[in-house]
Amino acid sequence: MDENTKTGQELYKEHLERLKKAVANEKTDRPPINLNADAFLVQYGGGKVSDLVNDPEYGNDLIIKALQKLGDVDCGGPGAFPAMGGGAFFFARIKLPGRELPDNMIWQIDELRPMTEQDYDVIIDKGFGYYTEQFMKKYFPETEESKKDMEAMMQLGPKVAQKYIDAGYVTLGVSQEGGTPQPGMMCIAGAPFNSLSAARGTGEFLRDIKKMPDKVLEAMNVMHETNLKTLRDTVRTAKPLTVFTGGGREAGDFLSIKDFEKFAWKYFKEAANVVIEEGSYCYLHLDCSWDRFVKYFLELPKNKMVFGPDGTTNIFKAADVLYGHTAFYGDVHPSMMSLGTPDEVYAYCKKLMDRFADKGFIMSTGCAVPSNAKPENVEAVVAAALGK
Amino acid sequence: MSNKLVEAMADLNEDAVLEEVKALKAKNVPALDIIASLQEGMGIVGKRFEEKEYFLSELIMSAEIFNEASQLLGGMGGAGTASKYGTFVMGTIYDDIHDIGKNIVTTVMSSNGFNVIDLGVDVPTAKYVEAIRQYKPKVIGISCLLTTAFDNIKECIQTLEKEGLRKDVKVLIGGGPVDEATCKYVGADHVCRNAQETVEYSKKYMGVQ
Repeated sequence: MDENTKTGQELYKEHLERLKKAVANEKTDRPPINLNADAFLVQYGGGKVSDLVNDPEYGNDLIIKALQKLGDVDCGGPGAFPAMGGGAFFFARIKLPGRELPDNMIWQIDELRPMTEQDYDVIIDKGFGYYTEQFMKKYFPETEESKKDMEAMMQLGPKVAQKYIDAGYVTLGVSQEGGTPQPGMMCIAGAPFNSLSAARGTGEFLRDIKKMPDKVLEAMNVMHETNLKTLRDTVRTAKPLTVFTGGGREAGDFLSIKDFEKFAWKYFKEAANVVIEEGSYCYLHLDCSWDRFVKYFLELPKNKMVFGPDGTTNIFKAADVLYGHTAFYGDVHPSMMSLGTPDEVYAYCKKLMDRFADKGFIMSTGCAVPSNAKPENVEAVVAAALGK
Repeated sequence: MSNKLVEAMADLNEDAVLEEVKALKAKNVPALDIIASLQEGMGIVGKRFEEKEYFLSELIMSAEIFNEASQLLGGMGGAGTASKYGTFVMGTIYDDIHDIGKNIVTTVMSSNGFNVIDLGVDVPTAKYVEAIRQYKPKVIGISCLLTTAFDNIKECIQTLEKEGLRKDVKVLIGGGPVDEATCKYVGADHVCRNAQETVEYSKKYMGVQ
């Protein structure tokens, strides 16, 4: 039976089983394909990026249509919802296509960097929850309109998610038994480093860790304790297959090894361990280059992580260290997706397949498919994974 | 040259740097000589970065100490060294509002002796053209974090060409998705992977030892 004759339910089951095997670092018949590509797909489906903002249900219908047009893609999920309300996570305002930006531009994060040096004491004395609450009151006060928007999103979320399920698509954060992830049960793990860096601004924060390291660590410890408790409770309730375990600003050339261990890894590792203890897998969404830090993931349990670099980390060198220890997710570079030829993309994907595809591999691009990726390049990613 | 100041700057010893600057000032050592020692120390910081002894957090801290020290001398302008190595113009290309990379590069360039003109984010081509005409930099930097902005960088560089400004200026690009293929596509001269690479490229091009 080919995929065209299977029902949505049959496809869903098949895709879920394939994904479960891949994240557990087991053998699969072929790599599951995950496209984190809402801005690209809505256009590929015939619409504009702003459709995801102005009419999310219609925009997501177009994404589903686009996924079906591409072939037997396994994973794809609701688009644009986080962008609509997700600014607070980055202490930022989100500029949206069709509103502050032209129709086909991707949303952008406008960091507000509200945190002062004195705010470390507020976090230490009253907690990070209190600090973010004050931030929200100041920058995003609740209005009748925002309440209505939020209610509409909460109602629309499950409806749209069900449409993906009915069409046969799973998401990385699907619940372990399958089915609609519960609204409000989004699980994210990581070190406080990224939140503080966003709140203070990267330059200021990197200066703080040199000038007032003890204060920074004290604030991090307070934040971490709360974060771990929330993470454990949420993972225990939602039981997601994978938890987005993100990092970026602690990698690259930002920190020495000594500072990485002291300010980032200690916390990252503990958060990852909570995810694993609660029975989920870590989807390591790793922005920036992690070349210097790959070996640290050996400190976490075997076959409980998916190593997902953004195209900057050398995935093949990482494999020399981590192959057999983590599953892999990768990782066509966004520049290649936008500027490369289909032959180049196909050849890179085949190289990934040769190295990883015997087990525990998810075919994707680094971070996300750029909104201006060439359609024929996205088709080449899918064709390579399907063995065409 | 004060070896004590050079060493303290290179070791990022903030207290020792400020103390030595004050002591040298009290002895009526010319501000330019004090700045020269600080920049000698900054050169060692850059070298340690290249040798992977220091990282971006150390580069930023060095810029912070350098700025504090130069404030004691009345600021870089007051010390009369604002354009010791020439002018560097930088911005994030239009349709892109990311500024983390740009801010780090401008901070580090500034503390390494360049007169930095920061054009901000979402910078239209006309503003680059105007800045090049006004400040006559030998090197400019264009930052971007979005692949959708590649065509904008290309258009900007083509416009510099049409306006007859390209031959006199080296164009450096940088940012998360930028690689060698992007450099070729947009017609830039070089991709900088970090702030220190921008310093080194600019110094080399301007013939600074």
